[in-house]
Amino acid sequence: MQVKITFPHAGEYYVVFKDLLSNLGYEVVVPPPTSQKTLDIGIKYSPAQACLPFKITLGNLIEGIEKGANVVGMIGGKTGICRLAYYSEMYQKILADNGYQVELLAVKVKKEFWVNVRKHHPTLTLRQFMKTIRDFWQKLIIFELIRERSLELRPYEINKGDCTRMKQRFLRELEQTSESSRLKALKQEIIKGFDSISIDTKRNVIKLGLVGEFFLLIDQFSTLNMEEFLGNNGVFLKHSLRFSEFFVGSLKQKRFLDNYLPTHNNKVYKLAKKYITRPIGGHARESIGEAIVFKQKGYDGVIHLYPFSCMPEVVAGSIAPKVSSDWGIPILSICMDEHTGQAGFQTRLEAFTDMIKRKKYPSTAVDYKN
Amino acid sequence: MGNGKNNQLLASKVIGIPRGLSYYLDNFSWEAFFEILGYRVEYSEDSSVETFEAGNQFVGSDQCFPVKVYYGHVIALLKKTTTIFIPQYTSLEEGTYCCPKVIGLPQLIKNTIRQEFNLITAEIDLGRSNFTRFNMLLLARQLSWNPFRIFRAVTYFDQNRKGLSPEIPAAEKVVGDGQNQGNNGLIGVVGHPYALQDPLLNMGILNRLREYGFDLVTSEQYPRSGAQTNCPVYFNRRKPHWDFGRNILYAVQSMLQDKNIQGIIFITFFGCGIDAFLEEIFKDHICDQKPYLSLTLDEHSGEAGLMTRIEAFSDMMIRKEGKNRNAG
Repeated sequence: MQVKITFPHAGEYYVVFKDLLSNLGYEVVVPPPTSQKTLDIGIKYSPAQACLPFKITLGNLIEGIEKGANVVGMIGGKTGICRLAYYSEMYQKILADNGYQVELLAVKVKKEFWVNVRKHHPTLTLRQFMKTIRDFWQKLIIFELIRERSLELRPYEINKGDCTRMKQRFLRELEQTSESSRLKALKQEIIKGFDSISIDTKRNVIKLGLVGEFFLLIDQFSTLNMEEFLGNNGVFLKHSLRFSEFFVGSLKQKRFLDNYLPTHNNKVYKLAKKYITRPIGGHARESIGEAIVFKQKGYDGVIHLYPFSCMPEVVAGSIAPKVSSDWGIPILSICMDEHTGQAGFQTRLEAFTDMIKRKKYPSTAVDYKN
Repeated sequence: MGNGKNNQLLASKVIGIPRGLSYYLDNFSWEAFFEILGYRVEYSEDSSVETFEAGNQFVGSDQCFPVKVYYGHVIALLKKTTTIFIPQYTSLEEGTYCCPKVIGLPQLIKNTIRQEFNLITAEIDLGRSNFTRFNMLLLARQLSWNPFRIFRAVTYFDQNRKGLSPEIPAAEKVVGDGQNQGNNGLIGVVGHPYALQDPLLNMGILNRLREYGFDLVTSEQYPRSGAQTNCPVYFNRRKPHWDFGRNILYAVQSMLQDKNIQGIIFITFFGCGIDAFLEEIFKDHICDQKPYLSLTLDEHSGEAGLMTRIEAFSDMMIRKEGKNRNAG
């Protein structure tokens, strides 16, 4: 049987994961980009109170399976306190109940992954496997560079859309590059390419940090294209959490390091300790800690995003006003679900950014009295 | 933390424990524990609509109903005392967790209620007994300067901890005493302990069912045992790692095998993340075999609507029963 694999979308990260799986010898079926149809499918099959990421990813998977996939790759999961640990079981149950007979493959940095891949491809050697993982890691880092540069430059660009175009171009190039020797050159090209965008550094730009549930931070469909909207409104955005960090986040070794050595996360935990003393699942503790780190780094505000009924982030969202008043940093907590309307959401963001802009640049504020 | 450092705490000598969430899950007597240390424990009154409304202004809108009521209990207690004790339950057996909201509860309360008060807490992780013992020691040190009392209190906790442990079902606290009063049959009621015990949260469903002539078995009468909770179909042979998830799944499984139980009612709350996944897992299995009623409650649940649903369910049960009788 030909093994055809599909996996859920998370922003534009399919570029990287497609490569990883095809290098491991799978035939990859990339599901169609997330759309309202995907969400509708997800809502139809998932429990009513499941979180938004679950609904969207389930929709992705079903669309992928309908295109012919017979194996489902689940990225991350199986550990932790929150519901993410049972995503794969729920996928399996729901898919089986609705007549989609598929196998599940956990894509994660654990021995389990190697064992399962080996089952599908008995000829694969460990050496090849490790090399593929290394290439994947390099690509992931480059992908994040592209994403970050585009977010940093968008508020300054003179020709609207330059950053988006540049990002699309490099993503396409990254998708087509498969040999690892080319990656280094591509990285240089990306740095040069983004430097060549004409920018206006005198603009009144505010810096905002993004914290919250991990999926919402990277997925642009569920946050209604927030990144572009804010970028065009003169907001310099920075994420608290990268995919690469999430990917290795469940490793015992990393958790050990974070607990005892002065890493970035260790600092975050220490700052959050006053508000959340121990991990309560998801990224609740990180959300609180990173908000304070953003303040210390001189950011003007923080946006905290979480899906409706996300258990840990609801706690973080309730504590956020206290953090906000203690540290003097504006925090906007937004709860997203499938009914969030674009106009309402953008109005809230605009009001928030306007408030910060007026505070930061009082001279340039528009006088609405006239 | 230090002994006698907190003068205000020592002066009041009264410790308030809110009657909500974790109050219902343990049989451990905090009264005796604090009495050894020289404190009197005051529990808040039973939940009422007023309790809920008093706390509602502090709660984030997307918290679940039990948490909202819990706030009300804290506010009610603050009128009597300035010291509140909230145990921070993180795990009841090795390898499990409580709900994230319960784990974060003391910090949640401390950081959201804008009022001066002392909050004392201790992290209780029954999978790690030394860690828990150390936390209890810290708690006792906070409250007393007397080393003998501290020692006795910690020893008391250690010896009576079995009351908290998963092997013993929390059957002693089951509401009501009605045994074999009804003649319409036996119904299994499944839910978290607070959902079964707090009449405000479940809107008195248990008593109403008794009025309709049903006998009840609640999921609390089933153990939270680790070894027995093998879920053959559910969750792909993988146990859920939530303590009460295990209890609920185990109870459902046993109720399905029990021929005497004729129907199952599941009580859950809007916004409960654990139940959303659990219900999806066992719903189909129950519906294949027994009448099933799932009630999702929140603060806006109307009584009339609830009554209608329970009546419809009980009518269905009675009619089914009658049919069987005729057939037999």
